[in-house]
Amino acid sequence: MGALLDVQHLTVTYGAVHAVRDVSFQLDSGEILGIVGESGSGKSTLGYAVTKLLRPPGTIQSGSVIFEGQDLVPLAEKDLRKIRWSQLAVVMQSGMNALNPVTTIRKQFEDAILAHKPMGRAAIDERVREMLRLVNIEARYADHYPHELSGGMKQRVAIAMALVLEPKVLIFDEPTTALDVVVQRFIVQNLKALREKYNFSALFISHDLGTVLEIADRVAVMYGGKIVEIQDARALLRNPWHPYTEALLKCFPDPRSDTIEVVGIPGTPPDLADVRPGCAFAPRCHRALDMCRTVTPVYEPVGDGGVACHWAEIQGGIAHG
Amino acid sequence: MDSPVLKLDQVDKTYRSKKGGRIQQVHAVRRVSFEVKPQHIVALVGESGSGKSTIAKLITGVERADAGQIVFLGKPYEEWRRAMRDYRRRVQMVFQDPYAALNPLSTVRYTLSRPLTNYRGLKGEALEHEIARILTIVHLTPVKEFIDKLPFELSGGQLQRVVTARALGSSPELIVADEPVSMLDVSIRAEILRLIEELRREAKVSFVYITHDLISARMLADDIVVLYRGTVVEHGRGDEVAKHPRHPYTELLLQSIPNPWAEDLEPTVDLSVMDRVTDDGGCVFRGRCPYAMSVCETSVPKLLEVGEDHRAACFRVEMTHDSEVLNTRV
Repeated sequence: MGALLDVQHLTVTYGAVHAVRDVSFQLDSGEILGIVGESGSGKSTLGYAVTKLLRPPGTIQSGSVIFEGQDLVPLAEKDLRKIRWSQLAVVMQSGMNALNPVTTIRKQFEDAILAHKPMGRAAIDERVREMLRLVNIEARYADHYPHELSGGMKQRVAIAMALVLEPKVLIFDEPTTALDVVVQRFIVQNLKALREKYNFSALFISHDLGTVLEIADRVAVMYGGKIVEIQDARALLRNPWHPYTEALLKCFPDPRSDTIEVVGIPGTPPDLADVRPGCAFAPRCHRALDMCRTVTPVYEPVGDGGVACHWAEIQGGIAHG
Repeated sequence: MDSPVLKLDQVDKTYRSKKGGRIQQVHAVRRVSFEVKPQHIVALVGESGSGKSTIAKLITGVERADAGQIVFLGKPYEEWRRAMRDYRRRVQMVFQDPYAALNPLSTVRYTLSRPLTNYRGLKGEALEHEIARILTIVHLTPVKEFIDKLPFELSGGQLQRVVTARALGSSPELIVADEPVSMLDVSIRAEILRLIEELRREAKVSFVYITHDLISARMLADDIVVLYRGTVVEHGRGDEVAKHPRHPYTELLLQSIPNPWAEDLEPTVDLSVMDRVTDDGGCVFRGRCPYAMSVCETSVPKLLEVGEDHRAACFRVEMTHDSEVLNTRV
């Protein structure tokens, strides 16, 4: 099966800030690709760039976003509008605040549906009922206003709205971050069930490696605007290649283990205005070699993933040789 | 046995507001009791609406309790009210959002000089020396690299160190830290948690650590108090509560933490049932509890010993507990 979404050499800047740097990845049909990174890693910018929802001064400097054979980067806004929501839908970081506060839930569904295809009153009502049932919300809430719903309910409505036109690709940007842990768990379970039913593909962007590992098939790890590693989720959990992934994993202890230590990563996150050569993680990396400070590691594909790390490359070479 | 630094005894707080001519009541804190021993860290764990931030406001004197008693250093809060300046010197606070907690136009030096001048009357050389000492305690070194910085020049983790340093400025006995790491990146949370641990040990400060994160509570706290809708549902030694929860709500919290290591942990609670307001005499958690029995509808369970230094408020626990006690007696 070919890639549904093929991002190649994407670079995005905000003035002097290089937020996304030469990022390439593919999203396969039916796959959930997790994109994990901390603040300033470029993960949200990547999400916006893929849907071309960047706000100025955010600019795509180079690269392509090929969706079903068509490059979205040069596409005009009016053509993008046809694709967005119906083919490629987004659930925003504060999806719960993305709802219009002065119209009912039903009206918001209606607007989204009618913007893309004509549909009768009764059919819309039926569709709204069905979508709300999918995310476990009683049909009566269709006639409520967003403020009458709890945060978790609003986020589920936002997910249902993104799904209403049955898009092929969904982009979730931190969909659970602002929610209580129990509600987060519920939404993650809900998403898994929805994927079974709709077989959509998704980019799941989050800082929370634990959640990403639970929901994603493959995981891309971002640091300093770059993808430093992509691996199958289970494999990444057992055997991370990049030292950053390794260090980040240690920050998420198994909640059921006998002893839990306070583990972090020493040092501070990189400055995205810094474009000097070398690995952005080198100053915080316990495996850093001399060359890591001067030579930028190149992303090397390995299987259906890859890694950008001098140390991993040398280790790999030893292992293969 | 050291007498506690802080003691809450049956503290109650109800917020009242008028909405459309009707008075609405939110019973935010319900007969909450716990104590903080010298140099101990007590974690208050709960989700939004659990009352944990209201408790912080009651302890710091921002809000007043309707009933019950708050005793600080052996003296009831009512007596401290005549010496609020002294109380505020001794009870400091660290907030969730370090970006919002600092004046963007004040240098680190000015920010840290305020408590030192206001509470301790330091100036000149002594002031400068003390600022440097506090910066060293929170590991913002070399001092000269940080002292003249403005907030925008610092990272989130560094800002939270400045906020903590400011709290230390008045030499407090107690710091209430309200979600001090939840806004920070995962990789730099550890350094703030370690700092709290160090301050308790070396600066001899006691902490009330407020969090929604059971894991960080377990890492840091001597005792954990689990709150649900303003009620203490479980209370005990940190590792005991987080490892062997006895209340169904604490169990649910633990199971809800993402755990890719586990093979599909299914929560035992139907999560679609939420937010049923149960303010009518029964157990506050019964609307979401998979084990709810008829007694849970009509009576409020009391906090009972379920182990050494470990208590839970649940009829189910009460029943198994009773039978265990019977068994051991036989």
